[in-house]
Amino acid sequence: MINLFKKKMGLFITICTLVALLAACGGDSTSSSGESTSSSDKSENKSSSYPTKTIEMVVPASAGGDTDRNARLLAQYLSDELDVSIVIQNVTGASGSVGVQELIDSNPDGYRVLFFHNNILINNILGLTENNYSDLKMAGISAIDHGNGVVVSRDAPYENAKELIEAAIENPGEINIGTSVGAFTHFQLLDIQEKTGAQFNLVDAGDFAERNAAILGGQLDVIPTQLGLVNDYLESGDMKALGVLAEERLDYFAEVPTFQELGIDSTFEKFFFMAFPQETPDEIVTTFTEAVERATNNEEYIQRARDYGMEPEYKSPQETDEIMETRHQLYTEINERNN
Amino acid sequence: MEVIDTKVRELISAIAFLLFSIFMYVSTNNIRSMTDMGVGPDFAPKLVAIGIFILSAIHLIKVLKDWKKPIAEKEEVGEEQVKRDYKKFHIKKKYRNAFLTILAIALYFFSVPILGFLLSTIIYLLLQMFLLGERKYWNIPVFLILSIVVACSVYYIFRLVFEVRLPVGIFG
Amino acid sequence: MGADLLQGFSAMLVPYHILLIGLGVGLGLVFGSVPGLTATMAIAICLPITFTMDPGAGMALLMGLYIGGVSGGLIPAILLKLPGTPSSISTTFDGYPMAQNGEAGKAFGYAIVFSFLGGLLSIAALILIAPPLANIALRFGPMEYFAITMFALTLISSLSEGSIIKGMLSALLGMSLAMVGSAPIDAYARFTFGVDQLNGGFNLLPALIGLFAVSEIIRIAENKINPLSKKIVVDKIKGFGFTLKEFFKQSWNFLRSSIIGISIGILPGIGGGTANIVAYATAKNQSKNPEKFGKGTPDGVVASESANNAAVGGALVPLMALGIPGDTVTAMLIGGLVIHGIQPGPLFFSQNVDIVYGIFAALIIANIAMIIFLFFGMRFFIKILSIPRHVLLPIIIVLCAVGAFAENNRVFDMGALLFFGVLGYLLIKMKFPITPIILGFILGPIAELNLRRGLMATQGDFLPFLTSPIPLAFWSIAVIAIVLKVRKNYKKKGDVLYD
Repeated sequence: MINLFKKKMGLFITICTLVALLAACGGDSTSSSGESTSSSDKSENKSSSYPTKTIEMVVPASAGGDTDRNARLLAQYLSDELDVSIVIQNVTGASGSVGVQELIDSNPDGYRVLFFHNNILINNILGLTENNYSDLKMAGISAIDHGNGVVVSRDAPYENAKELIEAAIENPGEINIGTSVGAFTHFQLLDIQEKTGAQFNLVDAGDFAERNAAILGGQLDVIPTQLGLVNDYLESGDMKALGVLAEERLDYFAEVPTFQELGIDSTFEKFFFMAFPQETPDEIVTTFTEAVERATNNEEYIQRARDYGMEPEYKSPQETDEIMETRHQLYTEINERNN
Repeated sequence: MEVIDTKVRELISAIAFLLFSIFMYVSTNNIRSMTDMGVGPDFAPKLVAIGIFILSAIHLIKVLKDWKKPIAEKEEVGEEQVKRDYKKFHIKKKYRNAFLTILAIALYFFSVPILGFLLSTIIYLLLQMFLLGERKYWNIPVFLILSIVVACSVYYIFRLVFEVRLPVGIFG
Repeated sequence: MGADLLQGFSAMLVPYHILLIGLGVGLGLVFGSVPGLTATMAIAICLPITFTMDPGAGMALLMGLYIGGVSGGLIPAILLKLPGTPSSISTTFDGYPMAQNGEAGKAFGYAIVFSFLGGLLSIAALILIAPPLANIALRFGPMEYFAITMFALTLISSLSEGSIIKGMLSALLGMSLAMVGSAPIDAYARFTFGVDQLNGGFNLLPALIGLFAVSEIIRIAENKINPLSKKIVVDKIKGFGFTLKEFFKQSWNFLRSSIIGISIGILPGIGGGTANIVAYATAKNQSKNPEKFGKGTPDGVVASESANNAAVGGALVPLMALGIPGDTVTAMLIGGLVIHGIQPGPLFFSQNVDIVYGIFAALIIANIAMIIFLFFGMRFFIKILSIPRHVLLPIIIVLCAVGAFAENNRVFDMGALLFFGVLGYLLIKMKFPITPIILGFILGPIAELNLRRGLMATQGDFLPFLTSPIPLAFWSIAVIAIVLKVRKNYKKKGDVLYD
């Protein structure tokens, strides 16, 4: 009987080892995880104390979106600069405030960093969460997306933003415009409405992928979106870009007019920043942000970021703080005027 | 199981759901709303709470209506007192066992952030194997080796291969 | 097209790619079969590795993981009554009784073969008619989604044994639990009672494995386990364990379930977790002997397994044709493509012929790898039944806990796992069905979100929700189904309160 039991145990342990082996093969054959461990060993021999182990980058957005994509792209080059591997953790929920709170509660040892965008301000302004940018120590901005545009489907009767606005003034509340209530794009729409007196029917349509589906399926007339995310649809002619909320025309969408040119003074930019918990030592933040600066100057990184329709643009922690402050004020005003 | 148990069971569940629905409905009053477009975020919860209330009320009425009716197929036919007593004892023991397992799991999850994944997993695995197996079949050396092997292999596979860092606790 | 596919195969049929697909399928099977680990997690973990490969190789690995991850769920579902993934919930209904009746080998045979065929059929649909299918899916706006979720929820009436009232209560309970956390659209917290960690709500994974796995283990723990008391006879398997005649008996069931799987898979957001339950319920409703369902009929296993693998091809349709992800896995696949500078979208098919057909070929090869692995593995898996349960179950609890933790790196989710485990145990004791809870949990938020979105578009008018053509069709079927079910029940002896 004991023999029988042992036999079964043996079998079970074999299963365990097999699983382990299989998993280990997965790592080896693909070589990246192997390399990263050896590189972290290397840096341990160096004199500098930070970083010596894998850094976790908390991304409060789901895998596949633009935030996640930008984080992963940067992490790739940043890990070369810092000589340790960087893993992305997608912590989603409550418009990203769950992930932000996770980071605020983390150890301030420099091994957990946040990668997020403007929504940190908006979540706070709307009262979704108590936490705010001031609970964090900024570690710089890695990219700014100026391509916040307004897009319609192929069959729409408008050629530019001005015609759209005029139509919305004539038929108030009849044009369905997709938004994600409480998100950055929602604030753009509120600002446009306020500055032009146009009135749209604001319809919640979720994230960028859902908004794309809704406009292709004809459930919506207009969507605000990052042009880089609909590049393909613009190229195929399934969608038309009516205007972009930038100060100057974009290099890669030169034919799209700015709202300013059309007489609508509204500009927005989506910036992607990194931040540590408040008590993180300054030396660590400095080491990190310098590496970010080098990574954003890497030609290959710049090229790949541009392929996404993004402008790599480094801002120091101090500059980031200033940007945060001015935008916080701007969004607060928009919100107050609309309530 | 026994006849009385079935009715009491239905009564308890109906009342529990009824109370739950009232609690849920009252709680919806604390929900804040941002947009007045369409219906607010308290609309669906209210609807669901009302739904639960109506259904559990129907359920309760049914239970009470049938309270006196004997349940034919489950009737206990003149069993001896001894057997019934044994059954009662047995049921008590069953719930005790289930409760102990719940307690073990709760302690385990509670201790993970404190003792770390490795140590708490080893302790939990041992404890749970003792709880589940009949005393005759306790094979302490095998349990011990297995607990350590499983805990370590899970920990290191996740850490090294999948880059998921399980909590290390105060010893980390 | 044929030439393109041939080209795709010739690119994929090199040792390096075949090795990657095999590895992917193997690892996916492990992730799919361990309760608590899912295909989504396998892909999330391997995604960064693919960044360093060329796109073809990366896709080979990811497709292998996807197919393996969805298929692996059938192993614990049949052997242990634990759904490894939401996609294999209804495989437990008949697969486990079959195994308990000494037909584990036969259950595996059916599950594996029909997983393979379901997968193959959906890949064929993907290759041949993806663009028109995707265009149909695009016509589904909020009102259509609302109607279809309601339709799927009414199916619980045919799933809940005994009392319809209890089934509906379970579904509503699942919906209420899904409401904890930030509300759809406004994102303000609901029912969090000041607990910040509840802001994000409960994740599906702890809910699923808590309700199905942990609760079951607590129930088993009621009685001390004597490893020698209950011997499960394991059948000797020849081939796949069923005859050609038995195979052809399943043709219509297979076809219907696969079509359900493809159709539900296509609709972004609903996915395989719902498809298998809907297919199972439909098979039961249309069966000549519905009383056999739940007691170990191969029909149930066939319905569930054809549908969940068919949902894979379905979910890839909007991804490949339009660049719109159908579920969490395909959302990550987009990430994998984008990192190589390929943006899935309307031009994806025409501009990246080599990659598109490479993906098709990888899917077919992965499907073949899956059936080979499982065929040779099944003799081996069945041996799990002979591991003493007092040793096996604690290990499963540990794996569930790790799975719950790993998804979001929060210890809090382990607490959620226990909460759902205890809740599930209490409900089992109170004789409430568990499946409607998880269906309500998945579909409730989709229904609410689309109801509110739809009302924003109609500016508060409910009427279009009923009168638009597609919703009208779904509502009609739902109402007819309920009326038939209630009539049948009352003919018997009224709503059965006691079983």
